[in-house]
Amino acid sequence: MNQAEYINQQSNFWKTCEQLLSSGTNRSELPETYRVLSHQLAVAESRNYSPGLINYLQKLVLDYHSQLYRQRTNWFLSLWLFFYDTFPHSLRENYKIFAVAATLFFLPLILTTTIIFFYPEYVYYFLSIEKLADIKDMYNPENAVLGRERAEDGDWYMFGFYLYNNTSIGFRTFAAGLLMGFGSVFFLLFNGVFIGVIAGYLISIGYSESFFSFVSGHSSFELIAIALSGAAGLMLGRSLINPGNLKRKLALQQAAKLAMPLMQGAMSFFFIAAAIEAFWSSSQSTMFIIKITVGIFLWLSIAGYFLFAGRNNLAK
Amino acid sequence: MFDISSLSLSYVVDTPEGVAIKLPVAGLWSRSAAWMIDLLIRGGVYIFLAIVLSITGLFGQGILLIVIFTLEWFYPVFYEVLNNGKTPGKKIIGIKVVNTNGSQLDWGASMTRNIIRFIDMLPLVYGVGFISVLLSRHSQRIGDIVAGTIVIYDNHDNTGSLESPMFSGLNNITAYKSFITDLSLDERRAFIAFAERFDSLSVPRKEELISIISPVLKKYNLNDDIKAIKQISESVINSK
Repeated sequence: MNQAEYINQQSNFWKTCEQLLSSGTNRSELPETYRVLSHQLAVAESRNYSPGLINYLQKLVLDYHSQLYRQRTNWFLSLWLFFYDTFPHSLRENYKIFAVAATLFFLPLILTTTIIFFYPEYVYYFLSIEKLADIKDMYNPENAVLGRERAEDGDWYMFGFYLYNNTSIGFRTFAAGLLMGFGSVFFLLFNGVFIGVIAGYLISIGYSESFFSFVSGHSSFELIAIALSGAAGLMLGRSLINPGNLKRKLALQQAAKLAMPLMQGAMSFFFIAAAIEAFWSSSQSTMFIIKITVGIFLWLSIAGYFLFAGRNNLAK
Repeated sequence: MFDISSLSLSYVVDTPEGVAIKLPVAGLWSRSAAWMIDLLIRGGVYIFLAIVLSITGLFGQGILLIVIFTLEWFYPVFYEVLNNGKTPGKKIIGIKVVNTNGSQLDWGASMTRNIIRFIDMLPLVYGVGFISVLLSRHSQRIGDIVAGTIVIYDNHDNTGSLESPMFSGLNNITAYKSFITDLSLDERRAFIAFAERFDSLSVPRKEELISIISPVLKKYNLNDDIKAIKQISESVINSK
C-alpha cells in the first residue's frame, strides 16, 4: 500500500488514539489500542514508510507505552508497607554492610570520646579555641535552653536548620559512596571523630548532665541515620569494586535499587531526629532522669523495630 | 554505505509488544536550559517567601529553611514522579525524564538520580555532570547512570503531530525514475526525510545538506538547486 493511501485510511483512527490517551476515559481500551498501534508501527517500518510517519507512530506508541507500563502507587499503602516491611527487612538483608558502616562510625566516636575524656588537652588537635568556646556556651547548664542559642519562637527555626543540615550530611555520605566507597568511609570516620571529640570534651569539663540531657532524645535516630546513609553508600562502592558477574554499570544500578530503602529510612530518621532535637531535646524544664529514660527507650525501640518488624512475609 | 544509526542519538527500547521505540535523547544544552529555568523558579520562590516571612521572625525563617530543604532535594522528585517526568523547566524546553525502558519514574529511581546529583555538582557548578553528559553515549549524568534513567525530547520535531506537512499531501511527481531506482534504501530515506523537514529547515541549512550530495547529482546530470531536490525527494515518496 502506498503511504498516502495508508495515511488516508488510518488518520481518523490515530486521531481517536490521541484523544483516548489525553482524555483519560475508557482506560480499558488502552491496551488493545496500544497493540494495534504497535502493529501499525511495525508495518510502517517494514514497508519503509517515510521517517515522518514513523516518527509520528513512534511518539504515539511511546506515549501509550509509558502510560501502560507506569507504576501506579498508593501513597498511604506504600508508606505503610515501607515501614512495616521493606525498611527493617532490607536492613536485616544487608546487616553485614550496615555493621561495617556502624563500626566505621561508632568506633571512632567511642574512641575519641574516651581519649578526650582521659586526655582533655588533645582536644586542641581537633578544634580551634573559638569553636570550643562556642560549644561550651551551647551546653552551659545555666542556659535557659540547651543547644544553639535561640529566641523564644526559635524551635521552628532550629527544626529547619537541623533538617537541612543533618539530612544533607546523610545524602552526602550516601552519594560519596560512588567514589569506590571511600567517600562514605571518609564521611563516616570524619563525623564519628568529630562527634566523639565534642562529647569527650563536654564530659571532661563537667557538662555531662546537660550534654546527655540534650542528646539523649534524638541521638538514636540521628546516629543510626548516619550509619544507614553510610551503609547505603558502601553498597554503591562495593558494587563498583566487586561487581561480580555483572558489568560495573549494571551492578551499580542494582546496588542503588537495593540501597534505596536504607536511604529512605535514613531520611525519615533524620526527619524524626530533627523534630526531637528542636522541640524536645533543648527544653531545660524536663527532668534529667525523664530525658535519659526517654532516650534509652528510643534506642531500645529502634533496636526492637529493626530486629522484629517485617518478619512475617507479606508475599505469602 | 556506513550505518546511519551509529550517528543517531536515539536510545532504542524493545517493548514486549515486539516493536522498537527510539527515544530521542536530549543533549547538554536543552538539559542546562531546563535546569536554569528550574533554578530561577526555585530562586523566585525563596525570595518571595523570604520577603513575606520576614515579618514573622524566627518562626518564618524556620519555615523558609524547611521549604528550601524540601525544594532543593525534592522539587525534581515530585515533578518527575507526579508530572510524567517533567519539571516546569523541562516542560518549557520540551524534555522529560524516563526510565531506560521508556516508562515513567518511580520514587526510588527519582530519589536516586536526585541524591546522586551531589556527585554531579562536584567540584563546581556541575563539573562532573557536565563531563558525564558529554562523554556518555546517551547524554546521562552520573545520577542518570546510577538510577537507570535517561532524559529525552518529549516531542522531538514537528513531524510528531498530525498537522505536519507529511499529512497535508505532497505533489505527485513521477519524474527522475531512473535515478531513484539506483538509490539504496538509506539514501531514499534521506531524501524523504529531507522532503518532510523541508519547511522547518532554514535556507542555509538546506544548502548545506544539498552540498553533501551535489557531486552524485552531477553524475546523473541533475540540477542541485533546492527546488529540484525537493521535487526529487517528493518523487521518491511517490515511487513506492
